[in-house]
Amino acid sequence: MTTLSSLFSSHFFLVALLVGSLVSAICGLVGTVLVLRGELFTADALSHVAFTGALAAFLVGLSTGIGLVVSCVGCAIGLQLLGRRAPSADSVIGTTFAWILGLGTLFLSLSAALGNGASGATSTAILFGSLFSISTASVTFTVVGGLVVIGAMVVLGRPLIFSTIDRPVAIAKGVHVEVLATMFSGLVGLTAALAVQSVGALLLVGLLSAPAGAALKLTRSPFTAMGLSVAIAVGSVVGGTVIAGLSPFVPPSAAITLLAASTYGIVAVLTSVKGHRHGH
Amino acid sequence: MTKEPLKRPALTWTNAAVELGERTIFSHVSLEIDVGSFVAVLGPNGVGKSTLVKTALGLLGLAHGTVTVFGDRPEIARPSVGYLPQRHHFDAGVRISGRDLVRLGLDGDRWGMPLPFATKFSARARAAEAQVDAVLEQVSATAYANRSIGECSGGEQQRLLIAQALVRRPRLLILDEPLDSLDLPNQAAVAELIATICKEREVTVLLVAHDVNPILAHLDQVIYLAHGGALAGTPREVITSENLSQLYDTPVDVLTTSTGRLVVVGQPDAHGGHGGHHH
Repeated sequence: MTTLSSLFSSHFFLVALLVGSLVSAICGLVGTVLVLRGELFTADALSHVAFTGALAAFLVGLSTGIGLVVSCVGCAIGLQLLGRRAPSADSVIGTTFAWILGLGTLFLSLSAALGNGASGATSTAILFGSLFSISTASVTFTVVGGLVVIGAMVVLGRPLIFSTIDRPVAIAKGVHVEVLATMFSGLVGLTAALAVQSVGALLLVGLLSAPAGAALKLTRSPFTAMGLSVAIAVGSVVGGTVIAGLSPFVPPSAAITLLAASTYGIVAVLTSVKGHRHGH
Repeated sequence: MTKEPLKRPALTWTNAAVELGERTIFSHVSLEIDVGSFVAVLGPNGVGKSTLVKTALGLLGLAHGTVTVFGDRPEIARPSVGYLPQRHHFDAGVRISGRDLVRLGLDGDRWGMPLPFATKFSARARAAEAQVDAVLEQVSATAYANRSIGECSGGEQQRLLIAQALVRRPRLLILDEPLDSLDLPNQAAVAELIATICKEREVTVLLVAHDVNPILAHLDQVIYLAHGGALAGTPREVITSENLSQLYDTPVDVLTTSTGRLVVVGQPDAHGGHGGHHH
């Protein structure tokens, strides 16, 4: 039976904890701004594109990491530019992403037909993550990418929040809102690529929305919300990884989602009770 | 009120014209606004009132002519201008306190992120907070400044937005329909507040309105935009039954009350004209 002390002396577990914390921190940070901008659908779109991009890279013999970054960053920036021209192209977006996901399954069966035995494992890793079996190269990639996202968010934070909450006034103050929006999309894409590699495409939306949603219910300051969101996201991932490490059958993704979602649930119930008591 | 002869007007338009696509919004507009005066931009819907003020903010370029703000190009004068955009209100779900919104008006365009507990160790952060406190006090919004902006009433939001426009101590305040969507007592109160700021702080105010009555008593100058051109002067010169009937293409009466106030009656879009009003 696994004990806590043997868990914390395991190299795999410590790497999983490091990568998981970093990925959840950037998801919490970027997620807060995504929720404030009402652009969470981008995250959902990215989880589709990530699957196809990674499998396309795998099919042509490139690293899935490259496929993830190119597809996610390209898609996030593309959606941003498209949304500027046609803000209500819902049906076009829906159709496109269904088609892209279909393309992904085609790539999957193609690489299986070409005799590549690892294609099944690769697609499972992309969908559900591979926190406990992450390669050294991927760890380096995640650490570098994660620090880029954190650094950029710290520099862009204030004007980004200003242009998100109060766009016309920000424009009049000379803030380049379109440039900021495009840069932020690039960061969302990079975050998605890093997160998919470690926690999986299916967990991406959860990690971007649940901690941010809970944090924004707890405070009226967007900057405090960013900090709280990071704390909730890291807490869920660390807690989830420990639970998964101790249990022989709970995968990390399941434990992490459960923790993040229940945090959101508890906060939502508590704030609505408090709201009713104050008569709102 | 007599004014010292001033070296430079706050705002000038010289032979200005704006074209959007193929359409000429207005042309041959030449205007001059004195420092410290309270000026209203009036006129029928869709005539280009918001367009005119946007040229002063440097948000829209002129097809012909020039516009200056304190003698400079609008882009250069930007730090001395406070702005409240048209139809600017926040949905109930917007999660930011009024105080934080005002603070964004002070330093929201600066790179970086505010540090937690900054007021504990940074004199600059304390000075910024003091500036926000002072402007909230000035517009009497202190009581609800910590509430979510989305939970504030229309009048409260408007006061907070005026505070946001004022927080950098601008020399020119551009307000696009700040009285729109307010009830009558709030219209009078906000108009009074703007007039006080104008007179006590020597802030030049350029205010777009579609109903002149709530602000008429406070105005130094009015600009009527209509039919591609502009008519400007003191309220008594410009606001006459003859001028307004011609501008609006419908009979409009200007009455003088027993206390000597002007009242405009019959202006087509002054009341309840909230639909179909797009620029």
